[in-house]
Parts: sequence; C-alpha cells; structure tokens
Amino acid sequence: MMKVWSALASLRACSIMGAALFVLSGCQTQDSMRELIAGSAEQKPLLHRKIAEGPALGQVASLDGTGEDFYTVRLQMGVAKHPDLDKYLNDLLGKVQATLPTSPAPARIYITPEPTFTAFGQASGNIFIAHGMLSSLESEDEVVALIAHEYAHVLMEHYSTDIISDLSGGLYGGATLYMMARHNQKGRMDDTLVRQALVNEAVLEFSSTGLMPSLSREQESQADRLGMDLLLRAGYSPVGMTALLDRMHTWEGISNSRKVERAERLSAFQAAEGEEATKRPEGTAASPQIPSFSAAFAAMLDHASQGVQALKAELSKKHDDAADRGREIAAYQDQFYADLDRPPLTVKPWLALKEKRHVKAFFEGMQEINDVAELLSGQSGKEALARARKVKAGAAGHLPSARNLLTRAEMQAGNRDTATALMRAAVQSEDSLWQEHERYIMYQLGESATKGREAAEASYDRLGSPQSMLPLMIKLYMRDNRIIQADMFLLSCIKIGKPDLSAECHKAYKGIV
Amino acid sequence: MNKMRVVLFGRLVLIAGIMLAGGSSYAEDRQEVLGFKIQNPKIYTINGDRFIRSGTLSALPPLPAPVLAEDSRGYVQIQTNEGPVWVDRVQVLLKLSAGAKCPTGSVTVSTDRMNAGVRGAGEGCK
Repeated sequence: MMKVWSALASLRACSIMGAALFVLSGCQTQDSMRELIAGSAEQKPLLHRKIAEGPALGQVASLDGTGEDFYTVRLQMGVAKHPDLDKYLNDLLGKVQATLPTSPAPARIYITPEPTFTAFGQASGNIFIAHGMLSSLESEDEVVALIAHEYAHVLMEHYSTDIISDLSGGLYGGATLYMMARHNQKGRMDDTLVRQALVNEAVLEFSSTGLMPSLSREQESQADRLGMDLLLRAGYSPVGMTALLDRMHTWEGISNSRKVERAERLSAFQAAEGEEATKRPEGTAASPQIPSFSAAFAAMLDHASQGVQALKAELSKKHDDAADRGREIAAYQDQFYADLDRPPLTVKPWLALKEKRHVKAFFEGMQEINDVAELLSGQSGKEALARARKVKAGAAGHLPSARNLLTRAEMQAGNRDTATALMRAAVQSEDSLWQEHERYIMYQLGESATKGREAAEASYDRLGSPQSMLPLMIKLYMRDNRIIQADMFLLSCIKIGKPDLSAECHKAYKGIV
Repeated sequence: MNKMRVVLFGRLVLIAGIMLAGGSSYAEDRQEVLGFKIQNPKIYTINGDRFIRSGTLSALPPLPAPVLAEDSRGYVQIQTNEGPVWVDRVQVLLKLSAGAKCPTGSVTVSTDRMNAGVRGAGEGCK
C-alpha cells in the first residue's frame, strides 16, 4: 500500500508538469494507477468508478460568476467578496481540479455572509461556503476537504428535483401574503417593519433547515468518498476530511439545541396567540407586537405550506448525520488508504491568511452583521443602529448584507428619510438583495396601493420576472383595482404548472390572503 | 535595594506569566476522544520518523479519553489499560469547535430561496 501514496505523489508531480510532458515521459504512473485501483470493481476507490481512469491532467476550469442559479443565490444571500480569500479558495479548487484524469468541470467558489456551518454547490459548478463554516476551519486540509466534497457533487452531477423550488415558491407567496393579511394596518413605519421582520423570520427558518434540494444518502456518501480521493490526490492529509466531519458533528449538536429551543418558543407563542384571540373583539386584527419573532415564523410556516414539515421529516431520513458519515469515511480510508505515508497537516497558509488584519476584520465584520441583526430582532434599536453604522464603515461594509442591515437599523430607529433614501438606492444597485426589494415594496404599499404596485412592478422587471413574485403581483394589482393585469399575472402563474405556486396565485387573486 | 526589588518583581511577573500561559495553553489545546469510528481501531508504533501499524486496540478505553499527544501526520496518542498507544486520527471522533452560529435575526436570506443546486456539506440550523 505504500506504493499507493507514491502513486498519488507521482500523479501530483505529473499534474504539475502537465499532460503533454506526461505523455512523453510516462512518469511511470500508468502502472501505479493500476496499483491504485485495488481489489474488485466494487471495492475500488470511488474516483476510479465515477471518473475515467487515467493520470492527472493538471487542468483548471473556472466559471465567470454568471448564470441564473448564481443570480438566484446572489439575490437571496448576497456574495461576500474578498479578493484574497476568493483567490485563495479558488486556487485550492484549481489544485483539486488539476488532479483529475479528465477535463475538469468548470467551477467557482464564493463566500456567503451566513453565520451557519453550511456549504452547497449548484449543478452549474458554483460553490457557496458560508462564512460561519469557513472561519471555523483550522487547516488548509479541512478547507480542501470541504471544496473537494462540494466539487465531488458537481462532478457526479447530483441534480435535484424541483420539489424544493416548488415549495419555496409557494411558501414565499404564502408567507408574504399571510403577513400582509394578518398585519394589514395602514402604513406606519413600525407596522411595515414588523411585517417585514416576520416574513424574514419565517424565511430564515425555512431556508436554514437545510432545505437544499434533496439528495439521497448514497449521493452524500459518494461525495464524501470522492472528496477523500480528491483530497489525497491533491496532496493533503485525510485528516482534513475527518476533522471537517468532526466539526460538523459539533455543529449538529448546536443546531439540535436550537431546534428544541424553537419548539418551546413556538408552543409559548401558540398559547399566547390562542389566549389573545379569545379576548380580541370579532373582526379586529392581532397586534403586531407579538411575543417572539422566532416563534411567529414557525406558525407561519405551518400556515403557509403544510407540506414543508413533511418534507423536512423526509429529508432528515435521507441524510446521515456527521457521526455516521465520519464512520463511513474512516472505513473507506482504512480500506484503501490506511498505510499511506501521510503528509503533515498544512496549517500555516490558512491560519496566516485568516490572521491577516484585513481578512480578520472582514470575518469579524460579517459576524457583527449577524450579531446586530439579532439585536434588531430583539428591537434594541439605538445600540443596533450605532453598531450597524460601524459595520458599514468597516472591512465588511461593502457587502449588500451590511447595507441591508443599516437600512433595517435606520428604519427601526425611526429615521424615516435616511431609511427611505437607503431603500431607494438599494433596489437600484447592481448587488441588490431580494429582501431589499421586498422591504421597499412593503414600505411603498404603506404609502398607497398604487405606490406599492409601482414599486413591485419596478422590482419585478429589474429582477428578471421571478416566478416567486407572481402571487404578490396579483395581490397588489387586485388591491390597486387593476383587474385585467391581475388576470394576466394569474394566467402566467397557472401556465408555469407548479401546483403550490398556482394555489398561492389563486388565493391572492381571490383575496383569501 | 530598590534595584533588587525591581528585579524580584520582574521575576515574579515572569513566573506568573509563564504559569498563566502554560495553564491556558493546556486548557485550550487539550483534546478528548469522544468515540471510535471503526470497530477495531488500528494502533501504531513509531519507527524512526514513521508510524507503522502494529495491531489493533484490544480493548477500547473509557470515553471520553484524553489525548496525550498529537502528531501532525494524523495520529493521536491515548491512554489505554496497556499504556499509551498511538491511534489513527481518522479513526477517532474528536470534539472540534464549530464557531458558526444559528442566527435568530435575518440578515440577507430572503423569501424565495430557490437553489437548483446540490446539497452541500453541513446543514443549516435545524
């Protein structure tokens, strides 16, 4: 088995020299590759089952950061650009690609400003890593393991069904319209904010449950195994993958604790709502000052799309936890790579980069954005505003999420003119977030039905006519007594053929929500 | 006399600093094995600068098992009934920090999250 590592090292050397030189010299790697393919067909390392056998080509293929699916994520989360980090991560991706024996699928890595331990890839090759996850990693081996895992999904074309898109589209309409109906009071700033915050919270829960398109347990496992192959071929230690999964195990503990907390808060909220409803005179709306935003969204979720809960349960069945995945990858490593003469962990380059003043400030800035967002949810207005302004002036100040945060903070502090100016500028900017459009529409709607409809029209056009906006468009046209246009939107919505979305459009049209 | 006091004070500060640094470092660096990932974890001996497989753990130690030493090539030393042994880091579960957070306040995530993509490593908040 010692020869296996030699083969890997040799492959790596060959990849550096390039394919042409490899053909000329032979690099004595063809035989080594044969040795690498140990055992029966079923026992081979995954790399050689899924990708044509052969030496590393040393090729790199990058994406240009465009495309519809990239745009969708950019609009929803924003991309946290940082030249040094982006270069570092994409150079590592290039290292992984260069080990492939075939032309690599194009890919590119982006950081998102989310604080969670999450990363995901798209079929087109875009890979998104949440800053919370990235900043947790402590060696280059771990970073490469993560990249290799995500890139493995891309290589193996782990596409999903569109069930999630259907549901999330429906949920969007449901959540938004539900909140509009529920807190439909005339456009005072705080009411708008409350509606906005509640909708955001609903979506936060939805999007943070790991409801990425569903993959099977087997596909996740394949990505771990192929990720391990790629990690080793790129010259890194298998400990990178192990450490990544161990860290994920810790994260699952944190996340599960939060799940329990949320369930408790939801129960409390539901009890409080029931009590309030019995006291409330008939026909009056609930107070927007509800006890807990975090609880409110969960109730909304149930209301907006009953299928979501069932889907969450179904997904959790399909997905091994990190401990299971760790055991599986350990067995895989033991079977094929146990006696490799391992390189030491590569710690310095990653830690040195993380410790650079501007990189550290960038990570801290993103963390502060999330911390201040939490403050805002708790309605600690003054402190939140001061901190949001500081973030905007800092190393992460160029991020759309920093701008979004400041707008929220200004609104919450009652600085109407400043908030309005920020909102206007945001919806016209190139990196505008959906949340910023939504907030502006809601705000304008508070002014008048026509202003709300006009703001929605402008966003609808600017954002490329997203399907998920259709229920809202219908609702707003109906409200502004523009029945013919509402009819046209309803027809467009039905024509798409997504049952959940269609149901939401019908509800909006009939004024049910 | 004053000079002696200054020297003495300086030494005390130095000693205190060393003690504090040592304590802190130990507390932060100390790792524990929370579990084993395969049924018969391999044990290794050091030959020169190489780790050579020398068998399997005959009896698993009580968990969590403190890590006595760690080698950057991916081996950890733990205490067993038969004395300290080196095991493969890949075959043990260590408690590693995940500095990420489950947010309660929405930052940028919006209402129409639709990714025609693939599931990734890790999970969001449950």
